[in-house]
Amino acid sequence: MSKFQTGAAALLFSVCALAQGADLATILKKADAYRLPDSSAQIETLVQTYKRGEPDKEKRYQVLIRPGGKSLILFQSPGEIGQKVLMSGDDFWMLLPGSARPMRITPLQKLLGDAATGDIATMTWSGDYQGTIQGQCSYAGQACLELELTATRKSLSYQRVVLQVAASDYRPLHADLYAATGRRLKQASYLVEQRDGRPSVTRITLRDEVQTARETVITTVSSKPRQFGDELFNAMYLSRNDLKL
Amino acid sequence: MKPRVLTLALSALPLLCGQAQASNQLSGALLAQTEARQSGMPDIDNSSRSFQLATLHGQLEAPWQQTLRASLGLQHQHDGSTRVQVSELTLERPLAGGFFTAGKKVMSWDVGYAFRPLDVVQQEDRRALNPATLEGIPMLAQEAFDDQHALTMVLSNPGHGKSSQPRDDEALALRLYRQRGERDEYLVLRLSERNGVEAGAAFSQVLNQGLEVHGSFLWQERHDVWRQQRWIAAGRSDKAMAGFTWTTESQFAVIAEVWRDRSAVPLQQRNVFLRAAQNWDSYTVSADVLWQPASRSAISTISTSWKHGPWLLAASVRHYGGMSGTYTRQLAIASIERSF
Repeated sequence: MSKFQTGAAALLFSVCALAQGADLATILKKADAYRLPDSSAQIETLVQTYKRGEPDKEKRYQVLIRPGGKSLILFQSPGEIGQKVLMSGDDFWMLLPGSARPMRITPLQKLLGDAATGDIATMTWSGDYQGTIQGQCSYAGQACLELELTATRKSLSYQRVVLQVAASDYRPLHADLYAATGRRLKQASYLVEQRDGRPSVTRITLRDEVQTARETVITTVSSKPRQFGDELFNAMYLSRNDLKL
Repeated sequence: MKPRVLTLALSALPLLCGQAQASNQLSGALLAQTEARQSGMPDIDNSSRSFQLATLHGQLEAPWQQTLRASLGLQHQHDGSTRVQVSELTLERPLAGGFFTAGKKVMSWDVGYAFRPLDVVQQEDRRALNPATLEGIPMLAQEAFDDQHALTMVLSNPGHGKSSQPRDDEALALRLYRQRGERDEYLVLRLSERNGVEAGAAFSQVLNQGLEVHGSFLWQERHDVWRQQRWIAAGRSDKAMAGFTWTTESQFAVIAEVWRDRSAVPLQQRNVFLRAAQNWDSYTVSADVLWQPASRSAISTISTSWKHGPWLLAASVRHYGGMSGTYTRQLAIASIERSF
């Protein structure tokens, strides 16, 4: 192969890679828009856990999100009212009910409670993952694209995601969620319905691959765009009560 | 209050909570607890007691961006006595570009778990087997925030001057907070008649996925010591603490802290605290020990709890070894709680 041919091949490879990267970014942004249509929003979430098909637990959260990977989770269920978890990129704080002290916590401490669910509610594929388009696939009779994604931050609960999106409009259909060790932790399936005149993910069903009898259903009860002040995402503000919802 | 009235009040709690408006908040809990105490002295009998506690937390959005909040506790002892406690009663609102608080409020500072030198406003006992609902401090406070800094000014117990107990002293306290990436930094200054100037600093830093380290230090211009049933003035003092938390993927967690408190009685100045806990979904089992080398005292605790929805069942046994067991040798507590 001549130098010219080698150069042309390298150029072609680079252009293809660039094109694929751009396509992936577009696909992820569109897939995100079905879950989080507004970059700054207040989302009311219902999380129901089932064991062997029987209802086990039911919890409610208010989730406030804003750009820059910031989110505030307000626990709303009896026995947890007053508990708050603040996430700002890789930094986490928690305020327990009855204590007025916001505590800095590690990513693994965050997993001790139910806040890991917040990861699923607030993470964005386009902001938190990078990867490649693996190829075409089929899910529940629909033509889809399979995306191989790797977390860009170590603090995310799922370090690897294999995401399947509809080939026609890139709505999310199914995802396999893996730990850093490579172990598959959960399978997620997404239900898209019309809400406020636009197609949105209204329910995510998570099947636990470790505790196989367990299933978690995350329902987006409501979602509305809202602007928040900087103070809401300051850990020291967690102990104040004048948060207007 | 007669028990029948208390029962009626407790029964009304869930109904009240169910009536809360969406924009406001009303929550509460009913707790029944029993305790058994083994005496460390032969001439003092073992004892036991039980009580029921109802707590109610209410929050009301008032006009002009004001938030009113109240926390009440109603405790009924097995001997028939009843006690009502107003733990918090505050008005909070934005003011002059910051946020204002007036009333009785719980305001806990510092980064420690078992010992907290910078907790100069709220003196919170973190290791109590029977953690009572914290009682707030009367205060006027003004706070300012941006996304990484916070400034808090507190005038606690205004008009009290020097009181019979340090907790009730009038004092002016200032806290500066800064977030620097994975580290939180704090500076604290407090002025009071009893302690003069107190100044301190603290930090908490996350090192990796499961490890966090923290430390704090407080210097006191002067302090009082409790002797012969009264406070006696003493000289300069300081408190220093260092510790870490470590959590694994299998939900095993460790807290370790060492501290020196020069304001405590000599045999209790140096302390080592270690706690290990394992969490399995709704179940938690933990064991901790507080060791005081100078007095050769070791206070060890084993606890377990089960939480399912609004229900919480908990049981603990604490053993007081060495000098710490002079009055109480062993304490066992069991409780059941239903939240609304």
